[in-house]
Amino acid sequence: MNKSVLLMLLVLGAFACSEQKQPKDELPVYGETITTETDTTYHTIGNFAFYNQDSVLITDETVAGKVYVADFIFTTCPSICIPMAKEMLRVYDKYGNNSDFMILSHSIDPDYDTVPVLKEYASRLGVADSSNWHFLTGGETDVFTLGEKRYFVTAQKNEKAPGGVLHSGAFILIDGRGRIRGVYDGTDPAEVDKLMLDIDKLLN
Amino acid sequence: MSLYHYIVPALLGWFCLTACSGDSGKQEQQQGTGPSVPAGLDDATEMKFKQYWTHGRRLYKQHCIGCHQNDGSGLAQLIPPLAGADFLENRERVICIIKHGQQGEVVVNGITYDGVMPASPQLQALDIAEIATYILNAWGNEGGFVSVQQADSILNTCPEKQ
Repeated sequence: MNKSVLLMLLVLGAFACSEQKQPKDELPVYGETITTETDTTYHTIGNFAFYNQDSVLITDETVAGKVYVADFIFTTCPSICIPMAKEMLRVYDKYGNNSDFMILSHSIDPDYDTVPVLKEYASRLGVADSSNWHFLTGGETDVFTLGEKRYFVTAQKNEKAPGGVLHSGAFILIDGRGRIRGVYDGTDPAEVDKLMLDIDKLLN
Repeated sequence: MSLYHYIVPALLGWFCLTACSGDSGKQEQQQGTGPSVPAGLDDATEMKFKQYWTHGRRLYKQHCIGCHQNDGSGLAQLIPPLAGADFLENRERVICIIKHGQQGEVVVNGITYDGVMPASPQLQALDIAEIATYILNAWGNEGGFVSVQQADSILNTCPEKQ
């Protein structure tokens, strides 16, 4: 038997397992990363401003230094929003009292989803007043551009899609410096379990 | 060369294949409880009932489960439950709503819901009879058998149809 074949098998084996061997506290940073000799610049979510269900202005300054999960929803959504809400409720039940954590649910139907509509939606979900789960609408930021260009998720108006809006069910995990650290299928309980493990890593 | 040289990489390869495939398989969702077979059905109807129930469960998973959930519990005060829901006593409304959707306030077990349930115009009388047979007789519900003939005649009277 050729020794080089054996060596190749071993190397292949090592590569196949490399994902398992990554340090557990290291999450990837998504988006374009620019590394110069002196500095590394990461993609960040940047500036935004919306109103939450209590008409409080929520901006990038509100979330600075906090770990947060973002998603894109609308209250009349006939398809994936209820499974998403159910999963996000699990995240909220676990971290709802943590002042270093937030949830930002962006409405992609801001014309219909006014502040009172979102207030009603939140209270029907059982989200407490003045909690750290914010349902966002209005404001000066275009939610579709924010979703597409900065969170890298699909969020468009589309007359042919159910409910007139095409969107992904992604939950996006953002760290205290506004960097994307994970993207999860918000309709899949196993993925949301993984999200909660990753939240723990960022909070610690 | 000893046999050892073959066994080690082979074992390593097997280990890595199994170790890395751990997350990929999604667990099949829980099936829920079986049907509550209505009393007093003759053999042929009971057989039909079981077929409807099984097909209905499959259709439920395609069309209804996202909102009403695998266990028929709904979600908080956004989506009404089907399990143990007094609303199911109104079989005519149930059948019309599956086809035509529902908007505006609806009271289930004393709680007012105000969401939107989309219409499913592609569902035919048989599909609707099967779904109705399933939800009326799953999770402990005992609502009886809905035949395709009954579903068809109810669908002809839905107010949404006019």
